[in-house]
Amino acid sequence: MLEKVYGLRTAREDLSSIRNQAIKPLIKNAAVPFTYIGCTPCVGGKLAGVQIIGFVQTRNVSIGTITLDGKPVGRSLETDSFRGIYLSGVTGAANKGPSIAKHSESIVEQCREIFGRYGMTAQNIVRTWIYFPRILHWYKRFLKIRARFFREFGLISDNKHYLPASTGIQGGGRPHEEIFLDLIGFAPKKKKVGSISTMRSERQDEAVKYGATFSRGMAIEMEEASLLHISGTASINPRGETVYLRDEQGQITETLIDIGALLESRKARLQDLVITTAYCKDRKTYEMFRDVVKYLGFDDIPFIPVFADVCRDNLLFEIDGIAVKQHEGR
Amino acid sequence: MMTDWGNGISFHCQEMMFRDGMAVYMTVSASKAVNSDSMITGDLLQALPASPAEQNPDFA
Repeated sequence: MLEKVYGLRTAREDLSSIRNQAIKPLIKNAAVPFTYIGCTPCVGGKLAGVQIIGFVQTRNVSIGTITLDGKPVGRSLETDSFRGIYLSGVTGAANKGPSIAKHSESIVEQCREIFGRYGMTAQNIVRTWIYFPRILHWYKRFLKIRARFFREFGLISDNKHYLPASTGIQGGGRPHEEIFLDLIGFAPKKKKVGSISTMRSERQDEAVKYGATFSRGMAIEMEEASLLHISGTASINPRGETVYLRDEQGQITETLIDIGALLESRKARLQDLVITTAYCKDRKTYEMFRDVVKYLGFDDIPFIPVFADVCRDNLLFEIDGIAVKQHEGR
Repeated sequence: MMTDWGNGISFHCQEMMFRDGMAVYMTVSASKAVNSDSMITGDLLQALPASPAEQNPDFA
């Protein structure tokens, strides 16, 4: 449904070709799209890792490929209980010139068309990942653009808001891409099947209060399991200020505790993370992260560590992820 | 549980059962520098069939 490959920007063609070879014998439709996130692997080499969300197709589960202008841009999922769409690497790069506004508008238009096909609206977005090759250059401008779109879509009003979980992080794309997007939309067919709600933590207040229009996390609670989408989380206090300036260990432990608190609010813990990326500003931060993981016994959490700029220059570290909590007796 | 393939590649897979079927969350991650294309191909091919794709040809 969704596949992310993290590797050197210069190795995009090579790794994409290898990926296509590897996947061909395994699934019927080799045109399944994936997102290539250009980055430097913290461990060195060309490839940092691959993350895959898949579903086993049964008679109750129907899966298709979403195309736009003949190109595959995502996967659709339909079960008796819900409908899901998973978009990969949607880009506005066809618009010439380095304009984050034009690229964003193009992405929104493409998403709007796809949502329409599947009977969805912006209210069905549960998760976005937004990648920028030049995040420090564009992020403040992007926040205003996103807030305007979300207001238009009715996700924000003066007295309420319903915002998806999101990561905004540095990630290299194709030439001329200033921004590209992965997205998950989810629409239950029957009310009893599952509920979707924003996650809140005692340790970090809502990001919307300091102008960032995303929620700390989104929970899809089903009878059998909880699926917890954790937004990109960094060392930020409830007032939205960076804490532990120039302190790698402080920022890493603060981030882990913040995510732990968010998961704990839904009776889950860090060890329930099944997909997770650790974004490190520099080598010193990565080496500290490696030590923290070792000393806290988190070796079984499937972190993919990559070098990336976070949305503020003084943030050294960020983690995002998906946690699964299967309920007792299931 | 992370499984180390012994050559710098680790694999993690978690299933999630729900009313209509099963979702699967997989990670293949490099724990040391991976430079050789043949190593990446070999290890991905080695890791992926350990997934439900091996048991179910309709894995998507």
